[in-house]
Amino acid sequence: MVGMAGIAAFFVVGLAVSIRLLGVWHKTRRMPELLAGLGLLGIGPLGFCVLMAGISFFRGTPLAHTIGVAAVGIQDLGFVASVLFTWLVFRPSTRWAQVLAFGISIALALTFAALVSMPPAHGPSLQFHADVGLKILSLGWGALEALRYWRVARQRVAIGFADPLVSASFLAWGVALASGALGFLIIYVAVLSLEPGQALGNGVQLLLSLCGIVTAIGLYLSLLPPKSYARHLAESARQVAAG
Amino acid sequence: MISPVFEWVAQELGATTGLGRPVCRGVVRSALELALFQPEAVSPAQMKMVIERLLADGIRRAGVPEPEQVCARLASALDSQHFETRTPESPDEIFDRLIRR
Repeated sequence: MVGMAGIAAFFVVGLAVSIRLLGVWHKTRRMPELLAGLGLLGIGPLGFCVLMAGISFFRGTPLAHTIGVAAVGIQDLGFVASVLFTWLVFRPSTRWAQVLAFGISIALALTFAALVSMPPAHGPSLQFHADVGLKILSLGWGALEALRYWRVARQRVAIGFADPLVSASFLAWGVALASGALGFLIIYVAVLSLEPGQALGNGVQLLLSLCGIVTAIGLYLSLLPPKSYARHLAESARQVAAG
Repeated sequence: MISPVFEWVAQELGATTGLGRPVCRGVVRSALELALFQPEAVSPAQMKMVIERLLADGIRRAGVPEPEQVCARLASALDSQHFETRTPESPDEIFDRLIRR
């Protein structure tokens, strides 16, 4: 129960933001909104729903593994969309970024194929290490790119060449992805230290909950910013420009 | 790879003012740098802001009279320009659309 608050916040905000992004895509038919919407939906609400359904209703049954595999597959698709978004938005003309985005996508497909073809493991398998590592890399790369861009964007805001709300969105997006990456890292370390069948401790659940809350706040401020927040940023930018 | 927007503006500046190619590229590059944009990644919307607000000083320093009029013509011509090589959207333009649509 300790971890539920953050996970629930992430679920609700993730669902709202992904539905909004797919709504934007429905109007514009542009690739970034489609990738961001599918990425968030797959990594968050959809993948999470399937995973929780497996844990809640099918634990200990033969179906549990199949549902777990389905959840990982949905999440993997979300991560593929996420790395393609990072490449397309922040480094569309950079060759190494294109290679990295497609490399991660192919590697995720291979780890998923390994998961499907292998019998359920009793401890962390090579596939598990690779899968979690790729997910941390995907989110970490996206966070670094967003925060790197925010550093320049906020300087442009100060000289009147960028929008303060958009600039702040890069920061919030970067923080959300960094918190997500940290959450996966915590899960990874926790799983490695657990005995087979042992549940996550309260401390780990609390950390995961905090990551979920930070990610939810980051997503909310980044892509569903409230008007009062936008006004505050605009006023701050005016004061900086005047002073 | 240099943005086609940068190439077009530098070329158009040369055609309008008679300044040499290296000077025009230097003037446009300096104006972009002042706004923290890069010639490789600048979008038409960002270039228009730079033309309207920063380019005139550089043109004046290069000895061209009435630089404001040159900039106004450049900005207007940029609006109607369609680039054959598609310029990628800037992250600002993408996030602006994601937030405000």
